[in-house]
Amino acid sequence: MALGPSLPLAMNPPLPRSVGEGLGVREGLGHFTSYRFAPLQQQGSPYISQPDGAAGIDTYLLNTSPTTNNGTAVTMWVGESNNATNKVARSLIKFDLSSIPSNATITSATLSLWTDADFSDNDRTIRVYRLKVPFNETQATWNEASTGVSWQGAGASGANDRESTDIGSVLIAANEAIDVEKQISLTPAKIQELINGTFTNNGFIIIADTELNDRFNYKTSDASASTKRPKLVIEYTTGPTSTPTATSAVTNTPTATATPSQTNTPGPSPTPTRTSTPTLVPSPTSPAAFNNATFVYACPERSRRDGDGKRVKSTVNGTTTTNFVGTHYEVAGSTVTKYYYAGAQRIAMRTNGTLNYLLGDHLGSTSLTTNASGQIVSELRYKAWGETRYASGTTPTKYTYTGQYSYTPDFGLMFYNARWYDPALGRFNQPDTIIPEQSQGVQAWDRYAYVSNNPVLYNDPSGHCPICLTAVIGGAVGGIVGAVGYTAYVAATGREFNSSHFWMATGGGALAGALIGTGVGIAAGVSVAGAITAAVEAGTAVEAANLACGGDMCASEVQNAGQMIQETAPGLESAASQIGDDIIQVPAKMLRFTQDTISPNTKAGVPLDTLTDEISNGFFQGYLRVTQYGGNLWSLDNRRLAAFKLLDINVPVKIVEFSQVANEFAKKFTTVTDGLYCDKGH
Amino acid sequence: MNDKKSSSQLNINDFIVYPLWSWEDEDDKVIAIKMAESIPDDYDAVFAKCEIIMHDGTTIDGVVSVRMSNHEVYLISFPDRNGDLIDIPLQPFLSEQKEIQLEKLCERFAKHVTSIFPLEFETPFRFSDGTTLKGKIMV
Repeated sequence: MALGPSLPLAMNPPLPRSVGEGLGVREGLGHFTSYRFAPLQQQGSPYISQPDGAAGIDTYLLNTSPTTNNGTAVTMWVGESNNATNKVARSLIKFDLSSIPSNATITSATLSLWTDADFSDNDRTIRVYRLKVPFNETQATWNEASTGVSWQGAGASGANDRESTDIGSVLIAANEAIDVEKQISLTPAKIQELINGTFTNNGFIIIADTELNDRFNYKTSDASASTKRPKLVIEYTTGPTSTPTATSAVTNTPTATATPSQTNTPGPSPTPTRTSTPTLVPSPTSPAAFNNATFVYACPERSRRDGDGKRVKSTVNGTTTTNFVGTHYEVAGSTVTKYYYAGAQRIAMRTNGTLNYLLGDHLGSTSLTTNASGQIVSELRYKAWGETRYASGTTPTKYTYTGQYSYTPDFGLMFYNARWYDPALGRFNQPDTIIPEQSQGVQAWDRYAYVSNNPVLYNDPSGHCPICLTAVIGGAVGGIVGAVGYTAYVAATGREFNSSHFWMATGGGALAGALIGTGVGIAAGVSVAGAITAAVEAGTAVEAANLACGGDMCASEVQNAGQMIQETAPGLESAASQIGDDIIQVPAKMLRFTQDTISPNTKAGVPLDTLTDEISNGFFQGYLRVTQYGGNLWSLDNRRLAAFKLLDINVPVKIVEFSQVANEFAKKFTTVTDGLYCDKGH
Repeated sequence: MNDKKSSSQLNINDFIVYPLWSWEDEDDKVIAIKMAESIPDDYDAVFAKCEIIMHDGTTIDGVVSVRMSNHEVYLISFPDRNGDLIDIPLQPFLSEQKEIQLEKLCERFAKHVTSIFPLEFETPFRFSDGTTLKGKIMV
């Protein structure tokens, strides 16, 4: 496996400095440690919006169906069809720009559309115009902007419907390829007016110049290919919006001071080291919105309740205050968020009663978020070192890359418990306070390095674990090592677990976490999907977990389970190396069958039970192909899905774009139960 | 002629050699069904060669896909210029995909959709109940 780039410290860009940054103090009676940081110079920050069908606003108008609304279509049409007479289409699209500060200075704006179908015989320029009147995505037609509100001119052609001068255009060739991105540069000054309010953002209309045998279809926000939905990228800058505050805002007498800047020479920690609580150095990638941030940690000196150095409160920009109870519970104002775990993997969350499932990759990063019905609401993809390379929808949690809490939208860093990590640099902002051992190899000598510069394989959940093979990986390949791990565990502890233990412990029990993470849970026949259900349904899961663990007994059991991880590490490493970045784990119950029936036996006479045995014994190392259509995930490998559903465990899947499998999907789509059930043969 | 291939490679010429194909579950490929008389119901679906008579009278060879649990046609396929299949899904859930494919179909035959549909089809095979499958399809 190729190592990631090692970043020589001498090449690091100088870190920005501002008055009062990085002052560290201890507050009160020594129960808490607080670090407060003054504002940074605000910098340019891209607005990137590529919403899904739930959030996206787009449709098209068709003159031959003048009263038909196409708000849920997966394509939007622009131009006149070459296979019909006078069949003219125009597209409407609108983006929510409210997240861009009103004082922002727009430097560029680019609208991207992806081609979907070609009905054109001519090269043609398509143009983007600002709409003067609002439209309703689910009501707009050729005749009306919304129900009962006619366009001044049909097809939004009236002078009061849209501007007469375009704000951007692009030439579409007659033989333009399908599934390619067409970028349209929009006039920054015209976008500026939408931001500062001098022109109301009613959205845009896209029209072909001549509208004669020149129609192309483009994918909409409802399209299944999430990377090819309409996208708007706006670059902007803002000036400082507040004066750096004096450090006197923290009133208690400082007794220890964190050195604010990272030096260009690795060496001993710049902070007088003794604590595992992170100090914070603002990142050069700190975005525009950052004013200041304050963090409060439970005092590490006090070993009583919560005195473990964990973050218990954070205040960002002076207004967003979040109180944390471990990683299970957050309170921000009136918003209460609870997290549920299957082992080390965060699998679900409930925010003020609204349930979302969180689906992760092999590093534990949050990849897909679904609602309670299993429909995808957001997606995140990452570069190797943790920067976001793709975002769709609004991910409801800040636990993102490798499952760690991200403050990157606020000030560019991620919270790794003992230290802060900068995904833009691919390095920690503090050295590891644990002195490396010879067995860790030469990579460990760079104490700012992240996971020994191998972020594809490892993560670092504690900030002190440079080559952690996560329990999440254990979960992913648990079937491979689970049997061994469980046997060893029983031998070591003399205890076996039934599903009720796991269900009770799943909500917060470290024991369940360690066990399911190592695959023990799966080997024991414990249903991860069942655990999800149980955890979600158990509103008092944390308390139940404590009861299940029986207090201090948990610690030794977790230690034993941890030993299992070490013993099975070679197997984990081997298995993990076979899992690609784009293979994610999805509870079987979230996937739908495309087929109505599968055979109980293969043509060679091998029964389905044999396949389930292979999976449960860890001999299945492939993945299922899944595609998204109509807001649900559909399996193209139904026989294997049936086996995973019988086992009721997570499924390794690779999500393929619908356009790539559309014909196979249509051929296979025989289900008459909306994919919820598949008959296992005659 | 290979009697086992991925579904995306199915070509109208495959149906000349083997008029019936179905899914091979274990590796998700389609496989030719080699039998003479009736078609047993122990398949999820079969892809069967058929004769299509378009609304304007044009006759071509095509493929109907039949869900075996209820003998419903859920997909009808037309050969393009290379013999590859243009699949027109008939399930309501896939209406958007159907419209896209219909546009391709109209382009392929340079016909308006009303010149193609409604159409009539008939398979040259008998199903387990002894009947051929024939009918009329409207879109």
